[in-house]
Amino acid sequence: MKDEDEPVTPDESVVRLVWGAFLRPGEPVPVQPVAFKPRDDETDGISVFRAACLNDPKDALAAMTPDKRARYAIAVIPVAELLALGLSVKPAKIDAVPGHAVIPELNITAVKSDRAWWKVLQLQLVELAAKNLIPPAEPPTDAS
Amino acid sequence: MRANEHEREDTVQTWAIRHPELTIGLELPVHPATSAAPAIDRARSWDKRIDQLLAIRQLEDDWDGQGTPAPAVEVVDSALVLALLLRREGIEAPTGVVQGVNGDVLFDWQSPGGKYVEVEVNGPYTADVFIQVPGQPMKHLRLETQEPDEAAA
Repeated sequence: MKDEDEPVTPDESVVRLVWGAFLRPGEPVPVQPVAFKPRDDETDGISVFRAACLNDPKDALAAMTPDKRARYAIAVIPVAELLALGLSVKPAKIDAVPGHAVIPELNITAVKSDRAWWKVLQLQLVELAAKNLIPPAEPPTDAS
Repeated sequence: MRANEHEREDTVQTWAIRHPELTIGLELPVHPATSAAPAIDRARSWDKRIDQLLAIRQLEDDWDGQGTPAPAVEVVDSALVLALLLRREGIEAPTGVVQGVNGDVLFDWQSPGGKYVEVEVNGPYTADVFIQVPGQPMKHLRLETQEPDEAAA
C-alpha cells in the first residue's frame, strides 16, 4: 500500500463514489454525467480516493455517513486515463479515509464557465467509470 | 395575508417554451402516431417519472451524506410542470429523473442510436439543455422563465 504522502503516479487508479440513483444500467450512457459534476462548494475539484492507499476500494465508503454507504456505487478509474483527458489528480488529505485527492480541473468555477465542453468531458468520464463499477449494496429506489 | 396571496398570484411564472419549440427545439423523442406501444404503457412511464419527482420533492438536505442540498420546492415544481407539458406534447417519458448535486433536477433521454438529451432544471422555470448526437458537437440551450405579462399575452 502506498503512503498518501507519496506523489500520484500514472500507474495508479482512483476511486470515485457514485450515488446509486445516478446509474442507468443497460443504457448507452450507463452513468449520469452528474456523477462527475462538482458541487457548488467544490472549488478545488471533485473528490476521489487513491486505490493504492486503500486496502480495498470499498474502504473509500468510510468517508460517507454510515446510513448512506450502501447507496453508493464504486467506480475505479486508471489515473492514466484521466491524464489522457487532460485531467490530473492532486492529493488532498482528509481525516476519514487515507488517499483522498481531488481532480483540480473539475472544479465548479471551470464547469460553470463552459457547460457544453465539460458535459462532453463528463460523458467521457462516465464511460471510464462504467468499465469498472461496483454497484451499490442497496439498489436505488424511486425515492432517489 | 390576503395582499400577499394576491401578490403571489400576480407573479405566477411558467416556462417560456411553447409548441413547436417544445418538441422540435429540444430534439426530444416523440411518440410516433403509429406507435405499437399501448397508450396506457406510455402513460405509466410518465406516471413513474412524475412519482419520482414527487419523491425528490420530499428529499431533505444531506440526502447523500455529503451535505448536498435538496432541490428547492420551486425547482421541483418547475420540473413537474415541465414534465406535464412534455407529456401533453406527446414526448416519450425520460429514461430517468434524478436530483442533481446543486439543488437541481435532471431529466435524461437516451436512445439506442446513442443520442443523449439532458434537461437540468436549476431554478424556478429555468433550465440548461444538453443535446449530444453521435458525430456532432454538443448543443447547449438555455430555457428561461416566461414573465407573467408575456404569459398573459
